[in-house]
Amino acid sequence: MDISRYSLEDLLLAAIKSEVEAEEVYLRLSERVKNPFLRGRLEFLADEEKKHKKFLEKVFKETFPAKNIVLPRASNVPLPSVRLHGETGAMRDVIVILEDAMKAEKAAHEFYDHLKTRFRDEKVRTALHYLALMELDHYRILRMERDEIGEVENVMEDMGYINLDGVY
Amino acid sequence: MDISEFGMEELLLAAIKSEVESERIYKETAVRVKNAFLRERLEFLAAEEKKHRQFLEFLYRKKMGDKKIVLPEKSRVPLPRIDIGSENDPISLLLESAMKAEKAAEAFYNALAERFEDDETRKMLKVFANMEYGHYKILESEYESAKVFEDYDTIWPMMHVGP
Repeated sequence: MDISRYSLEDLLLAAIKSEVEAEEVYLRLSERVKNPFLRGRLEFLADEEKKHKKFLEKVFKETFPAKNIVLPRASNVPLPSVRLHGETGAMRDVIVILEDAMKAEKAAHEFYDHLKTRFRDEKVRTALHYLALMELDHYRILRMERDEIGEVENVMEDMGYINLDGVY
Repeated sequence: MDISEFGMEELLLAAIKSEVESERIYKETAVRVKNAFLRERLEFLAAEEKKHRQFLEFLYRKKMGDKKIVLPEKSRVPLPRIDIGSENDPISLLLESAMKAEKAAEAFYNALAERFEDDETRKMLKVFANMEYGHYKILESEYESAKVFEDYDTIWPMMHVGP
């Protein structure tokens, strides 16, 4: 991923926007799924994206103390976004959303690994590397859910075990 | 992992006990750490172990009927415990121990799945095995970070992005 032609300000704003969108997608999706494991995982991912956003805001404020954070409507920075709804306005298939999210997490992993090279401060560089690793973890979690979602939901439903929290 | 010498009841009780202990250790450690990301990850792992325990208790009741679940003080089943160490130990030591336990749990659930004849239970236990592997990978990421920057938990205000 080549991000050399973008300004640091554009990159940070695009990253914050991407984290805000990812958090929203995971939260809204978590409200719709029945499988308690998947729901818990989506909530976890949403929480992590929220923390990433807070961290990036902190970095932005330290790098550009005189500027306000104003998120762009659209950005040229190559960070793919994830949509919950298709052209018809209907909820897209959960597997399709998970696959889009996997692509987005992989792109975010590469993005943060490149972004770190734009900073001289070793602590920020290390933190961005840490974020990059987290995005890779997210990718793995989503891949596992994508691979097993159908099977798990059917089995849990058949066993009368779909609502774990309601059982106890 | 060879678990053929153990009875089903003994295996399920050992698994429940292991999930209870893992949940407790992840929760206790989460309170101890200052890095907000690591704290949340430990809380997430604790929540998943709790769900595993609930499922295993459900399974136990299905197999054993009304028999009360009494966890053994010790178990012969080879499921390693996470070594919580002392308060002054670096976090990487605990992460390493937890990684070993998660890896063993993965092997255990794969072996346990083979002891069930119904497809549904087998599938769920295989999924659990994969989840434990997922836990291993999360812990591995944290371990790698901790090794590079062992003091990241205590000296890095930037990572304390709490609520």
